[in-house]
Amino acid sequence: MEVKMDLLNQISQYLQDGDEEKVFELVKEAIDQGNTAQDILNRGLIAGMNIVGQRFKVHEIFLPDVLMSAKAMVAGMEELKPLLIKTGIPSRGKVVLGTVQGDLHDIGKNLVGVMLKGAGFEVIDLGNDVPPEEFLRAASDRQATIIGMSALLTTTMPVMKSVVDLIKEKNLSGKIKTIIGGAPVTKEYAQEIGADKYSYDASHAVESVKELLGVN
Amino acid sequence: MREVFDFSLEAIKPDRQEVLRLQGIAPHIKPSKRIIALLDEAMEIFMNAANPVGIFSEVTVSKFWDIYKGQGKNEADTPLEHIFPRAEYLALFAFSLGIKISKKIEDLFQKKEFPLGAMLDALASSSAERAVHIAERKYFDFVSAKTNNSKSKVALLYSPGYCGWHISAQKKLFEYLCPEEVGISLNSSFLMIPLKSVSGVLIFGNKEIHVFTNNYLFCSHCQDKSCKQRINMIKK
Repeated sequence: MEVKMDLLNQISQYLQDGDEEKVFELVKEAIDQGNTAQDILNRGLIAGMNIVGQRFKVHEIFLPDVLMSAKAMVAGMEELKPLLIKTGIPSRGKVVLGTVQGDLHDIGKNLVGVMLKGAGFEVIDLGNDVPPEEFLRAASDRQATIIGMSALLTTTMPVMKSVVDLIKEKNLSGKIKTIIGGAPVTKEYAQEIGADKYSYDASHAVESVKELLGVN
Repeated sequence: MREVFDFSLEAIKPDRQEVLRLQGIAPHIKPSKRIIALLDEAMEIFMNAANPVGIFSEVTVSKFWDIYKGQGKNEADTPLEHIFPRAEYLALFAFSLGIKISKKIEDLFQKKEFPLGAMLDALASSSAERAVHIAERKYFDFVSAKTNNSKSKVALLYSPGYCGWHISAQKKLFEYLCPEEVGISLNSSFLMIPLKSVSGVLIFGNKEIHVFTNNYLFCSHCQDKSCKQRINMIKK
């Protein structure tokens, strides 16, 4: 048991260091040693990402460090995914992401996607210039309960309101929740249009998704 | 007067500290070796992939009214509509870093090279910002040379999509400027391709015409306070 814990701790540590090759290798080893997929995920990968998130929050590490860890997380998940599917472990949650219609700026949205995947969530990335109906269609088709929207242009922000209004119109309030973000977007704007959450950066978006889904 | 701007790669080379700031690393923080290595790698890609090009075309105030109105979707009151009628000279402008750099960033994300992709994106953003300042300076010099009167004047760029000027105005701006000549086109959502491009109107005039209070209706929803920084710079 102790050996197993050590291995999972090592996965967590190498993930914090952003060493994708080691993470990939150790996840493989952990599977071979008989660790459950859930243990590897929760005690190794997610535990590591949680520490990364905390260190980022207090400015001990920075965006490039977080992205190196996220890259390692994705490498580990690639190895683990078939086992997770095989053992029927449900995903932590599904999030539809996109940059709103009329806006092509997608770096912020991409970073949110990377961080969410890094935290073990399933991400359906619709890309940029996404019309309101497309967000809802994707959420409905893929049974996602969260829609995350990004905008960089002040004049495209109203598209976020169109999505929130469409959710209300289709009586999906409460079933599909919304998070908005992007350079010109504010918490007040989120409140005004009725979005469920506002996130000021990619790491905070992960916290918001966790809160909305009620997971740690 | 219509002219293709020359931008030397060296002139638009991103400022390392600014790039690190865009990555959340404040100037007083010493970045780790691995972050520096990432920045060096991204810089090398940038210098090989960037292909900067710009174009400007002078326009009259009356013609610009039509371009500004675009498809009639602007906010009811905007700072720009109080600025450009008082301008002495106006020019439509577009700049791009070229298609290669945008594709490279996209490829890096697709290949899950997130840290390098994000660093390259920050480099490109910083570079585009520098190009805007260079264009403003070039236009200022261009007008100053022909009018011989540059005292208390400044040239600043304003872009559709910001400060109440609706993005759909891009259509008329492009119809007039025709930046396709230098490889910049518009998609059906009025967004520029390549992605790392900038467009707008260069406005030359007295410094005070650019000064406004950011208390327009839409300002309360906007977190981007770069307008304030620009105004403060002018006042200095």
